[in-house]
Amino acid sequence: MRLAAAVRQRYFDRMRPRNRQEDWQESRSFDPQRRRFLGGLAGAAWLAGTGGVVSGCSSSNVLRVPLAAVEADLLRVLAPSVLHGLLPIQPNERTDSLNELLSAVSTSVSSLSGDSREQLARLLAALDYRVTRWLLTGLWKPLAEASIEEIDEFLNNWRNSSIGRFNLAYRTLTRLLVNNWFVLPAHFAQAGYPGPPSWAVELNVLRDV
Amino acid sequence: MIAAHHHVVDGARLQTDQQLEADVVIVGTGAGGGVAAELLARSGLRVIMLETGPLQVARDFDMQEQRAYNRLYAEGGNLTTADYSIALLRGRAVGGGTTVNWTTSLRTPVQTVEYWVDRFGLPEVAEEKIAPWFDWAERRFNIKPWEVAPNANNEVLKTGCEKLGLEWAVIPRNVKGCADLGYCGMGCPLGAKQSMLVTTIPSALEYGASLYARTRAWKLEIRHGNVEALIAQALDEQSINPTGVNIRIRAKHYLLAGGAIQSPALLMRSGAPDPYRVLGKRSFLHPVNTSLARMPMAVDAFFGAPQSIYSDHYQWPDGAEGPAGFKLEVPPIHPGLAAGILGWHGEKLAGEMKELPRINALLALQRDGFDKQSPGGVVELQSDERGVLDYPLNEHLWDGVRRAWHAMAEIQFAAGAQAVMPGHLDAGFATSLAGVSAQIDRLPLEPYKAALFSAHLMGGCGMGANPRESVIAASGRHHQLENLTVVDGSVFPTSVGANPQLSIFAQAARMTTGLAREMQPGALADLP
Ligand SMILES: Cc1cc2nc3c(=O)[nH]c(=O)nc-3n(C[C@H](O)[C@H](O)[C@H](O)COP(=O)(O)OP(=O)(O)OC[C@H]3O[C@@H](n4cnc5c(N)ncnc54)[C@H](O)[C@@H]3O)c2cc1C
Ligand code: SF4
Repeated sequence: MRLAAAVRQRYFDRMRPRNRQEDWQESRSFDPQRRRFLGGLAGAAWLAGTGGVVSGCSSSNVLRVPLAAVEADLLRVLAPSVLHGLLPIQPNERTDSLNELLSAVSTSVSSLSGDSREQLARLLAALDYRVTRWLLTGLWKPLAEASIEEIDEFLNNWRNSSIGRFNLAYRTLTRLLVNNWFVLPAHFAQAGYPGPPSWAVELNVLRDV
Repeated sequence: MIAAHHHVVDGARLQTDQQLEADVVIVGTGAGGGVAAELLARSGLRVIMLETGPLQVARDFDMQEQRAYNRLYAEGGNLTTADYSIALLRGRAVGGGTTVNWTTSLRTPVQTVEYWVDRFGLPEVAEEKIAPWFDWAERRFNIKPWEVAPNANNEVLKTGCEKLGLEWAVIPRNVKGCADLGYCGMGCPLGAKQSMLVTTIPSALEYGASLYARTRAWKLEIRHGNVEALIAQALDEQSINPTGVNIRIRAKHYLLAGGAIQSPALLMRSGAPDPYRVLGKRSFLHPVNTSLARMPMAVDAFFGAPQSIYSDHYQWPDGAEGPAGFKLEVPPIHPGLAAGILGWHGEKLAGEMKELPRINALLALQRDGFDKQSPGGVVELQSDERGVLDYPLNEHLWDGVRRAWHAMAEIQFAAGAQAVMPGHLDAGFATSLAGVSAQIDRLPLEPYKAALFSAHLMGGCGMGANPRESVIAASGRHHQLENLTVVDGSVFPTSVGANPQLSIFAQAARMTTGLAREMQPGALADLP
């Protein structure tokens, strides 16, 4: 474990985003590398020689599938940690709400253009492949075998990391799930939100324009 | 209202390539494009409007975040700057930003106008010259200070300012018959918001203009300083991928109103002349940081006119130049967006979301582009030739962000907040001003840690007298292209220092009227 920590630390250091002064100097000449997702995470996928292969979708066909099966499975595995305390406990209800969530995520992913879609695919691919997953999360085993606590722990590490790329990965992944959770009317009550006033809803249904 | 007899085409349904002719083709139907379309069509010119996004009308506006973001916002609301550090909200439907914006309608501040006149050689936009255009736009879009009491979220800003003796004011809004619902950001279900969708666009169509939705202007064919044609792509249902059907339009004049980022990107893709390398530079955002407060009472910030109070107390600390100044406002708060911004997960998130009805949020809009330490961002083309904004964060901006967190926390506590938290991953709710201030002083000012966003895209095709530092002249005309005019938020040489829509309405009306009178002498006699 100590070895893993040391390797990961080295890896993190390489991923440290350029400091502001450098960014500032470079503002005139755009560096396309800045657009590469999480630089390091993409690097991790490359290191593993996988990029799109692992996620089952290369950049040429990412556009056609809102969410590849392996990506949906990963998000389904992450959701119980990200939405701990929000997902229903009862198994049937839980499955139903996960299905509903994944379908909302899929809709939202389908409104991403090629570039953003590809960056998300890279992050998920990096979590799927063992070596990159270990570098990023400290977990060798597939996420499907990790406990809610283990996933929660690496999410917190990402969140609290002093390395911007990890904060970004945290924001990207959690936002995708929590945003799509709370836009669903079934969960409005968990935010104390009554939903749109019913008179306005009824009026609108009656409109002809 | 858009009616059955109007000429509206859905690009997604087109089966075969088209060849079209017009007097003027307008790219984009937002604040600038909408105003231009009506004035040109009214002048008797043959007008074609192109819009990337879909046509969605009041009946489609179901007040649900999910549908609104997916249908009405670029990237389903997930657009960001190049390094992902600033989230960008940009409307992408017929009506552009005006279909989803929060109806705040403020004139360009005098300080900004004076700065443009002096610094960029623009006497044409001086206070007394532009005022009649503001008068016109305020009449056209029924803009008046909001008479209804502010909702509790806005009330926090007002009360806090009053307690501390800071200046504040009531926001004028572009609404008619507004029921104070609070869903402006998802498209007004009552058609009360006087967006382009219910005003200038139906009017232009009534005058005989054509509208192509889900159709993206892709390239201009340019020869010898003249645009000869525009190639547009029909798009799929999602308004993302081309279907393969192309539309070629030949026009006498080409009017760009795709908004900041998009208008410069179209010119870049088309290889437009840019001898002084100014195109896409000086793009501005009013970058926004937030402060959340837990109030003792229900705030219900999901209901009520989203913005009705603002404060400019910190806007001009040292005049136009010098340290960053910021405007204070509040956002509407709905569960999806709020959950995404909080930056928590699991039980912590569940606990905080339960308290959402008691949450007030303040926003600080940083006024970028005035001081030389604030050069803004640069629009570039990605490998797929789409525009992206590279906006580096620097000390000048971070300094404004930190001061704004202090100022917002002070106002929130003065208004009775129980706890305040700056929008930053390392922050937590603190129950005293001293506590939160100590936190703010320690927070690392880093991208991704600080939650930053913008809904105000400006600049990139800045106007100015000198072609060495501007893309268009005061008339809106491109410095190097005879028959091309830009009339959207990209024309500003700095950020506006106020929510931009009314400034865009006024400049677009001024520029378009000039063009209409050139093409059709005697046109628009009733305008200034
Ligand atoms: C959520 C939100 C809230 C806001 N609140 C306020 C507010 O309260 N007050 C205020 O003053 N401002 C507000 N704004 C900002 C304001 O709406 C914008 O500044 C304004 O609409 C910009 O006008 P524009 O003409 O530059 O471009 P837009 O209104 O953005 O319109 C450009 C249109 O052109 C289309 N387009 C782009 N490229 C192409 C192309 N190549 N081919 C065809 N079509 C293209 C786009 O899809 C878009 O519909 C808000 C914005 C948002 C997103
Ligand atoms: S607040 Fe007014 S303008 Fe906004 S959505 Fe409601 S009715 Fe429409």
